[in-house]
Amino acid sequence: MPIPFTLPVAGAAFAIGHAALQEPEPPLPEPTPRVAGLSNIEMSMVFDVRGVLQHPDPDERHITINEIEFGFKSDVDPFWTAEAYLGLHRHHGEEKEGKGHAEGYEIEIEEAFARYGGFGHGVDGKVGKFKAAVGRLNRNHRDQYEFLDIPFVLADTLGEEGLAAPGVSVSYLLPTNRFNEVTLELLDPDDGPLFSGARLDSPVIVGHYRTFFDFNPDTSGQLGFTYANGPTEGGSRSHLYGADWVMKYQPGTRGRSWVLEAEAYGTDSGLPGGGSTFGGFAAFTYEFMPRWFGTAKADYSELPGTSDIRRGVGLGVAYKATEFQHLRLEWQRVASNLAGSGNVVTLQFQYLIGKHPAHKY
Amino acid sequence: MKKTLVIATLALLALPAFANLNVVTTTQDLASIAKSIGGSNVTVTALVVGARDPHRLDAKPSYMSLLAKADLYVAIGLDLEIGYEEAILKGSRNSKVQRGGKGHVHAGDWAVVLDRPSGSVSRSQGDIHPYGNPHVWLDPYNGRLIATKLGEKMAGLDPANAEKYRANARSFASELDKRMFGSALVTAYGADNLWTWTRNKQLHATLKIKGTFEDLSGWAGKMAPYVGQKVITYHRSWTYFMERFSLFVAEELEPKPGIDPTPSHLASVVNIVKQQTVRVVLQEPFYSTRNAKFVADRTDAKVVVAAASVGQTADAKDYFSLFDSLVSKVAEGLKR
Repeated sequence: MPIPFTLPVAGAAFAIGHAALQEPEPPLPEPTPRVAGLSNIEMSMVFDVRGVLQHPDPDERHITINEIEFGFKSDVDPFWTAEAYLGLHRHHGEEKEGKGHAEGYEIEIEEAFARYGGFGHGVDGKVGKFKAAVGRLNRNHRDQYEFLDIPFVLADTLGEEGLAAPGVSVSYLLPTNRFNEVTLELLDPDDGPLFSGARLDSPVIVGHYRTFFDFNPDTSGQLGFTYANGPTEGGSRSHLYGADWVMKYQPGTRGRSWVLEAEAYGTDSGLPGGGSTFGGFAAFTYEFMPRWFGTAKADYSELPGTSDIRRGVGLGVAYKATEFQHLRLEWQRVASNLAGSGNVVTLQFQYLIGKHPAHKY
Repeated sequence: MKKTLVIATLALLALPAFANLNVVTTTQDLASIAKSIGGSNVTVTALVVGARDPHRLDAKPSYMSLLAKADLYVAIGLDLEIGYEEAILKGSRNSKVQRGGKGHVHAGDWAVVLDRPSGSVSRSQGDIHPYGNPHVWLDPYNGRLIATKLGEKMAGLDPANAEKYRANARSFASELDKRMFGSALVTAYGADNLWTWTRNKQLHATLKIKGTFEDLSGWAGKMAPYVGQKVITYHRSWTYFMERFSLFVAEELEPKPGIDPTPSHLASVVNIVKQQTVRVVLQEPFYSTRNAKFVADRTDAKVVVAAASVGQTADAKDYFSLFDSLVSKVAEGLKR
């Protein structure tokens, strides 16, 4: 109830405003800085609960806790900050007799890195395991998506959860009026569809450039380009080329905001007969009423080293009552050259406790 | 060759002089105060522009570029910028403006802060600010405190112009005093006494005893007839304005901070307006007026849409005109 916060003050104001002058005057409140103290580790937990209402495989039609993500963040000292994100993921277990479907959970280090900001001159570095600077979406955690799952092209090219790997990252903010940032990373990832067999002396190399446009106070956009190369089985190297674009309209008044995001990737596989592949996705999210968001999404992905092509279209609606939770209903039509096609309808409830979420661009 | 050199020299002379301090503020209120104090010695850029909710800003990369070149970053603090501050400061890679840096300021630390929750705080209370209500600039006394401290801060960062910053801060405070109380009373009693009486809620009584109540003008004079009046506000952002001008907040349209109005809560607000004879439903321009009109249509209250920050309406061009506009609109709404 808001009243207790305001009534005592205002009540006093009313009483004293008409009071006769009294001596001595009561002491006045002076500015009081926040109570100092050693900052605790900032923690957060994001819960992703899903009910699969429709799926081509009836065994997938369940309500489950899809993922719980634990986040930790703190300064190490005046020079370093540390962040860690652990994911408790659901995975299918073996079917137990008489029990139908069974599931288990595994903990995965999604990210655990330290950032050094003491270089100066626009240079920033991090070391540890982190989400690679491939495009834009791969850098974000799933709770920041405007749709349920990672786009096909990122999963099929980089791995089920995209590319996150131990390594070193250095980024440079150019001293220009417009935002221009160059990032270079050396990574040692687990084997994935495109890159495999990476070692310290044969890392995956990722380069990303992004620039930003403020078209007006309400409309802005970010354009990025990615190049990566890394080892594949047999000692040759694969190449990845990508472009990413996001444009946002965020008016001052609530409602009617929109986000257009798209990424496209081409690969040259180093595998014998691997050839080239192409994939991409585009999504448009519109706030049709304050706190109500509709999303349309299209996916296309040629799987490296196979003849399979995955296509998908989806529609979703989300209600974000606060910054800390949302309810999302998503329909997706999925088609695969090899696995056939089908409809998937999922209801998601996602909520967050702990640290206030960042408003990432 | 000689001609080229002359042209090049003239071109260099024609370039504007570089400012000594590059200041980036989050809100336009802070930008207005910083411009008044820094004058031609500073360039000031605000991140929040137009009629925009200062809580709901994305960490745009362009902010990082602005901060990369900043000598001084001035935010409100008190978690107002919690959604984006950390990302843009880290992204700027500028050690001067990082927390603990010489060019990092949270102006809320210089202000008298209200609504500091006691006991445990949780999000069951809504999107509450555990360090206190961050809308500190809506008390002109806080604006005065911030201006004085900001003058000292700029003086420390640019010692060559220290006296100019201090003099400008004094001028800012002096102008604010006159606009608050009117020149006659400031001359008669001095600003410090007037602020002390105001903060102790003894201004009217003191002036009546001294026989000079009729001389009270400025914002305090315009609001004097409405002391003790009750107001409904949309969000808990007007606490400081209400406290300074001795108004009540009878209820808020949001059932809890940051939570949209619900039909049942609006129905209870309608009852409160009727029972307590509330005359005004006050809100910022970036909220829909639908909920305020729902209440106004069922009662005698008027909807007043007013700027809560510089730049939110056309007439709130700077920190002084923000209060000119706000006081006029609220006083007009309360008038019967």
